[in-house]
Amino acid sequence: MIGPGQLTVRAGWLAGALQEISVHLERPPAARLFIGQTPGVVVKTVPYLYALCGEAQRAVAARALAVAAGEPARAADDRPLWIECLHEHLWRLLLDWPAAIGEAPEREVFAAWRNQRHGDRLIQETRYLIDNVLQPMSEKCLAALVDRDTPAAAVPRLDPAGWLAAWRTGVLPTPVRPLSLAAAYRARLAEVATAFAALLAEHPYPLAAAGGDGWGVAQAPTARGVLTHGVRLVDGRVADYRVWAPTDAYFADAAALSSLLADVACPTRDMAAYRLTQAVLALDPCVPHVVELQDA
Amino acid sequence: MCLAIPAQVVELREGDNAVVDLAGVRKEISLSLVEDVAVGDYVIVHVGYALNKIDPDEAEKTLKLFADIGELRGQLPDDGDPTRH
Repeated sequence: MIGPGQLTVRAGWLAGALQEISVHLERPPAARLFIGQTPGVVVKTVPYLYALCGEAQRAVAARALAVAAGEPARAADDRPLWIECLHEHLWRLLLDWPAAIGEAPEREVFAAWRNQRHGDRLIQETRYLIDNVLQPMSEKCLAALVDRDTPAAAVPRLDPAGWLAAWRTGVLPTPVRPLSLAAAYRARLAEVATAFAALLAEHPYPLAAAGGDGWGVAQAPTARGVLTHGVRLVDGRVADYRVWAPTDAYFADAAALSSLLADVACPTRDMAAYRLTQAVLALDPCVPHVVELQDA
Repeated sequence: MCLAIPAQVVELREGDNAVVDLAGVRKEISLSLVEDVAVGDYVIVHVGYALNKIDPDEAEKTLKLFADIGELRGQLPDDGDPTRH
């Protein structure tokens, strides 16, 4: 039996700043389970493996496998994908960000929204939540961020053809990273508005794929960033399978965290811990994580 | 968590909390986002919360998948590539 993986973040506090930031990410080799399987088995297995963004994982896997097999892609089920995206954003914004700034999480109201999210009152309940709970909470959170006036981080672009070429040549693109805590926070707020508007207008969920001749790469946006699956089929079976999740990109090394905290003053040790927690939350790892702060 | 490893509830505690067994490790989590959870039930956990309850058959099937992944880890060389997760 394997565990869920773990992210360990270490940093030192010295001279009013965070220094010597390091990260270590351990991930179970789940995609290896797909090697030797048929595309049909992989599509059925994926939802059992992934808890968060399970709808996106399933849709991206199906699209990558279809492209690799040269088959027409089945239309994605858009509404659950948008709801899943909203769910992940609202969890961070109503439970995790309030806790990270010392406010009480909106646990009961989020649980109530969550329990009815697949029902007939989704639109009304989501509008109420955004206008009456998220809006005042977001003002409190932004007030606690030193760079509160920074605009939202750019929406990551889908580029499956670029990723396919990169995979085949072995040099993967560097993902777009938020440049500040407030940019990451504001990007979440913007994506909540986008997802809610898309639900209202019944827009298709963005999915993109590229490939052929046994190769397939598919992508979709998720609440953490762009999710990418890559597959190589040989004689109708999976010869290679890759999952490039946002957590892998943001925590492959300490660059993203260090960049977020580069100009953030931490005059006290408590402030250093406070900002480090917020920076990890801004990058939103999808695995359990521990943060260790030491006097450097 | 990203991976949907079923955790079995082994003890209910005050304040909508519970102790679960997750891959052999016991930890306290919140049940405030799910309803009607009892000792013996399986839940999926993320950042200290139970995300949802799953039926025992589905839990068994999923635990078998993760056991297979554990065996694969022992059989295949670890190339350190996180994209194989």
